Amino acid sequence: MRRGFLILLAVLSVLTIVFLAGCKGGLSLGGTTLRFMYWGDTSEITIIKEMVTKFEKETGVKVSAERAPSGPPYMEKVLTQFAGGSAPDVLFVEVNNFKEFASKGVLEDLTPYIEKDPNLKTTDFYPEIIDRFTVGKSLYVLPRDIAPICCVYYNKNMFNESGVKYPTDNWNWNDLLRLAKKFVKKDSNGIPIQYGYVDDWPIWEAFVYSNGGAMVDNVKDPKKCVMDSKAVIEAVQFRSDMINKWGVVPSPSQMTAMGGMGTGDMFVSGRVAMFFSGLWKTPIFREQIKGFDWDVVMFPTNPKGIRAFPTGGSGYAIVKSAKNKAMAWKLVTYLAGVEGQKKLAATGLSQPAMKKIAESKLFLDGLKPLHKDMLLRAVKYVKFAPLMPEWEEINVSMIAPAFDKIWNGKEKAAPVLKRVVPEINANYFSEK
Amino acid sequence: MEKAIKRSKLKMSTQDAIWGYVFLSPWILGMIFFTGGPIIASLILSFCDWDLITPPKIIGFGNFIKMFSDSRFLNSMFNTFYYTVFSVPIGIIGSIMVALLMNQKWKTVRLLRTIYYLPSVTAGVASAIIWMWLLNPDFGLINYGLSLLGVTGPKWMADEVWAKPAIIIMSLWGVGGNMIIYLAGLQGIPRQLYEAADIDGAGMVDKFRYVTLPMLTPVIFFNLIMSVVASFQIFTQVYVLTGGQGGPADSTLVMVLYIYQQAFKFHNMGYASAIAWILFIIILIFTLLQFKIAGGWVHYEGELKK
Repeated sequence: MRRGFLILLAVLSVLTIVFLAGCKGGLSLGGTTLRFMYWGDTSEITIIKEMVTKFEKETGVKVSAERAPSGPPYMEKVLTQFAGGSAPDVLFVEVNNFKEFASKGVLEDLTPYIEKDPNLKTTDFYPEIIDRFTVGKSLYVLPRDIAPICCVYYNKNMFNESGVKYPTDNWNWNDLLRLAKKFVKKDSNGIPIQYGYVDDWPIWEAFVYSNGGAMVDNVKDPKKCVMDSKAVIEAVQFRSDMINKWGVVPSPSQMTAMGGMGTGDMFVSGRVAMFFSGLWKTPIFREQIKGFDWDVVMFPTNPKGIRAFPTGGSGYAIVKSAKNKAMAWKLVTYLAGVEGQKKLAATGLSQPAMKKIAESKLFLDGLKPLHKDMLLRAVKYVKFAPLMPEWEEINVSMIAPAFDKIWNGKEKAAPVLKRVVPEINANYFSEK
Repeated sequence: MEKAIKRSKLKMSTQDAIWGYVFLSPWILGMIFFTGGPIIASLILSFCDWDLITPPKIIGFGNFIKMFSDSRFLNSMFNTFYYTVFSVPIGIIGSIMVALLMNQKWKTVRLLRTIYYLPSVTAGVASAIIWMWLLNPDFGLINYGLSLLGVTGPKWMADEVWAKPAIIIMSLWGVGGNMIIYLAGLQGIPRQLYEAADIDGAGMVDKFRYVTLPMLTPVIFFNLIMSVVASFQIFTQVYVLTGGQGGPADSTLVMVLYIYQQAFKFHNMGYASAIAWILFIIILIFTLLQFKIAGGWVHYEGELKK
């Protein structure tokens, strides 16, 4: 009995060691398998799976598509794979995380591929997003969609009930504030139960850009943070005043009082009249909003009429270490090519990066939000985040903690920015 | 049976030792393969600059030098010490008091023990979300309780002054886990000591002061070390309550959260490894220090340690 147990243990440990050794060698999946990493919600998964199946059928090449949740978890997974020497062949990239890869020399230059491809021209795409994914003269990502963050969703029923006219695209910040004030309601204890305006997360960049402000001197080659300018201070103070002076936007502590309810949920449940985000909220709103009619309007200009806002957008890249690059390119064109973009357009989730498809009936499908054709005109106003890997760190470690004090109403924008911008420049731009 | 003993050429104690290692082997193998490798790798990486994408570059002590001028790192260290200094004593006193109560001979005491222990087996994320509700400034139970006493509660997690105290109060949630250990300690105290104290005419307070507390010191010592180690590594609650930011205004940025940010948000794996090693050294120093001091106050079987 004892001996039997010992033998069993010995066999188990040998098996463990063999298994571990197998892991170390990397479970190689054969030469004809393409590995592809992406993130996405359910409607995107369906499209991607359809395109991948089609690709497999037509080429006979197997694709192993791995999905991770969007945002930091996706980056964690991708970077861990890079670190472990098992980077995927094809990568889903968006305009913001592109900065993590752009300067590292790990992405394949797609320019020669697109030049040889008879079905694709860079001029088919919005020049703004092609420019974002171009470093020097090399295009590193084939764009799939562009997502200007300029959609102010509004609750039509609330406007009707208050007898207020709907906003139009040519409104400005003062109109936004004037309208927002009409929808604030408080309970008998003076606790606000309804607000005028919220954003998906603190999208202060939209105010900064539309006031003619900027984060850095040169987005593509930043040498200096310039957020202590008058334009930025004014814009940040305006957003703070909407919270702390006028009370039309919930403060961070009032948000916690919503008990974990996100700002999007506030809009769905009719606790706020206007909600600022991108088009990607549309599928959720179509599904969840039952009791009222809604539409979108373009984010307002500043009082001087300047129009600009941040943007999302994404596409597909080939990793340099990919063995079969020709096949990888083929997969990229299946995903971001005409057919992939057409399928995406039909979901209402995002705006295709190909102009023609965005302008077609596929995207302008007559479904809610009816006014989404404004996005076609919005693309030329988009601004991108500084193209440097450290920008995320600057944002999280310097800007966000400083801005907390502004949104909480503890400090004004001017002293905070005058203090933090020299620190940013000393910490991150001094060697350049 | 006799044959079996004769046949084995090894001494009984050696045999026992072998069996000991056999039973330990799953853990030892796991440690070597899954933890040992990363530990060594992180030590090497702490002397490197590594963004996870391009190969690591050796930079000597650069990461360690950088820490001294990194205000966020120093702040995270301050926040971690702040949390430890308050949460550990409060936790120990709290769990001893609960253990004393749960050591009474009430009818419902078993049920109560279970209730007090339940939070310790609740998943960290779930309890953090419960606390998000309890600490809600307008509708939370805590501020409601305060309002009954005529006190207007603070904004807790939304206020940079009150966010750290909020996390400390939250840590009391875990007293049930230590309570079980104290309870076992209390029940291990020989009855005759109390009988002797009764004969000497000692009251409740004297019995606690001169019998219970000294006899409990080995358990307190064990819990003190474990609590200090755990509180230096606080992460989950802060991560969930602040969405990984450590806000507001960095007031709850603790060391492990900062390591996480550096490693997985800013992709400075080398710097993150260096901080992790500094954290390890800090914990090691505090643990050794406690063993050193322990001789003065920890009693084993009625005698001072060593």
